Amino acid sequence: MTRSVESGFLRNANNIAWIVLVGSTLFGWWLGYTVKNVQGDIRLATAGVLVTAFVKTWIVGFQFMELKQAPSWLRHGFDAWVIAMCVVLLILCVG
Amino acid sequence: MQTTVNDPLFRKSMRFCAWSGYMAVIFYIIGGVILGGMTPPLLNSGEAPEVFVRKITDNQFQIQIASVFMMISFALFGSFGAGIAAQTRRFETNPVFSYVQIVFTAGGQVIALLVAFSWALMAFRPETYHPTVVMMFTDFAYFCALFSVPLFGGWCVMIALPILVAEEGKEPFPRWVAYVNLWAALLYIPGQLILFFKTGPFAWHGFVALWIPYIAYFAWIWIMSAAMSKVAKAAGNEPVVGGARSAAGSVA
Amino acid sequence: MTDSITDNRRAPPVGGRMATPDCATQKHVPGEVGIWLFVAGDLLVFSAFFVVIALGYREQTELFAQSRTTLDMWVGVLNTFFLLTGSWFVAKGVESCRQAHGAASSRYISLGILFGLLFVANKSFEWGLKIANGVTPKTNDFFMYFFSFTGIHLVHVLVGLGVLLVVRNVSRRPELSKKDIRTIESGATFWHLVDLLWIVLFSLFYLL
Repeated sequence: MTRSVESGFLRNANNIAWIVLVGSTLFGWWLGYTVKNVQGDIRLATAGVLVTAFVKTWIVGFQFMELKQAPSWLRHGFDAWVIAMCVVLLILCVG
Repeated sequence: MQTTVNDPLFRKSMRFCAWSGYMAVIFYIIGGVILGGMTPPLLNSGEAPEVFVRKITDNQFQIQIASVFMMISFALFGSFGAGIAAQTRRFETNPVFSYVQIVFTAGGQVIALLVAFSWALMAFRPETYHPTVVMMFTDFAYFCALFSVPLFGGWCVMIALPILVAEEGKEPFPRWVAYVNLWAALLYIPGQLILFFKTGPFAWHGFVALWIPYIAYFAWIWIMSAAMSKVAKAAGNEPVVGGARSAAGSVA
Repeated sequence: MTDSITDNRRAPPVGGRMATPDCATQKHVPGEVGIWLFVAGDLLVFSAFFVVIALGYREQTELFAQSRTTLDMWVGVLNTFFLLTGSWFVAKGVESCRQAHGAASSRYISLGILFGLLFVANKSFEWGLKIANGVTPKTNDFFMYFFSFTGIHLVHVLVGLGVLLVVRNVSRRPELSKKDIRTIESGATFWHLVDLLWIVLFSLFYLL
């Protein structure tokens, strides 16, 4: 019973996206907080935080904003923004 | 094939209103950008009043000529805004949003004219006025232009709403124009931050508070003028004869 | 339920508006092209904001790192959670409107609004606490950016809540026309944009 409910929940792409997004928020928190304070590799942590943020951004666009069904000009336009913004911020914050 | 109202006078009038918009942008570029030192800012919110006086005295004549051009530019906002309201009016059975737009147009025009007034007063006799008074005129000009977000943003929203709530095929302007207006309204918001900052990107000479609203505002005028030019060519967004309302009556 | 949506459609379905599961294979612009023009415009402006923040971080790394430690991390994480969950419910609401429209559709949107309100409440609480402790936009550059940019974002959240109220009203209609679906999708797209912008702002202010 529980099993079937679970698999039903996971069959929905929106539910999976939400789980991944919340999970990566916690991962980003761990990266930004724990790694920086305890081990001290700030540059790697910073890069990790930024990449995680833009992966989340992309998931919101792809799944919630339904870009996965959009015409390619719109979909790839958004992809290009995500990549460009991530690269620019990486250069500014890490480079 | 839909039959639309053929009204040559309306089309000529719309062309006039569209050109008011284009000319407003051109005159502002001459007055505010090339001569007047409004954008890019000649003055800096964080500087001492004496620096203001020196910079203004050095460029006094130029700023005075610029004020004339800015005055012409801002006076044209009236016919520009009235044209948008007139096109909105054509699709209304009982006019509401066209009236609201006229009110916002008039308000926006007056506040914009105050920008040109205080710019002219700032350069009137900087050697006689106390330096802080000169500074206040500069502050006043930028506050009129940037702090008036609900007025200019509200104007844009009042243009967007009748387009968005209109029935399919009865929009006064294409639907994307509504979204451009909403975007412009959002871009003005950083202007309100000038209240809190005298240095940095949020002061009235800063990138975020000055450039973003100014570029958005004049780009908005240009886009709305282009939309009116399209109406003037009767290329889409024409009321249909025998629709819910007699379109001929609206323009008579 | 699906039939009621299909029947209501006067024109033949265009560009994957079919309310059937196989719509995934068809291309369709969510909402309408206009809202994407708006999204692109807003992303462009926020890109400028992100670069301004990153430049501040680059130039005053010490000050930024120090100021950051005084932020309440849990408030930021909680706010991210609120917006993500709000977005999730809105996405499920849109899905419900298209595939099995019923009372559940507007309930999902209501839940989205609730999480939006929680965000606003939490943000007010955070700001109130900061200001009570004497931390204002004038404290230093970090807090100037922090208050201004999250403030502009907060305006987006408030506008988004207004948009969701409209979406909720539309989604309560027993039968949804093509135009209704377009309104719902456009409104939801704006709400997701608010979520998306917060994700980046959260990382730049709380995590870096």
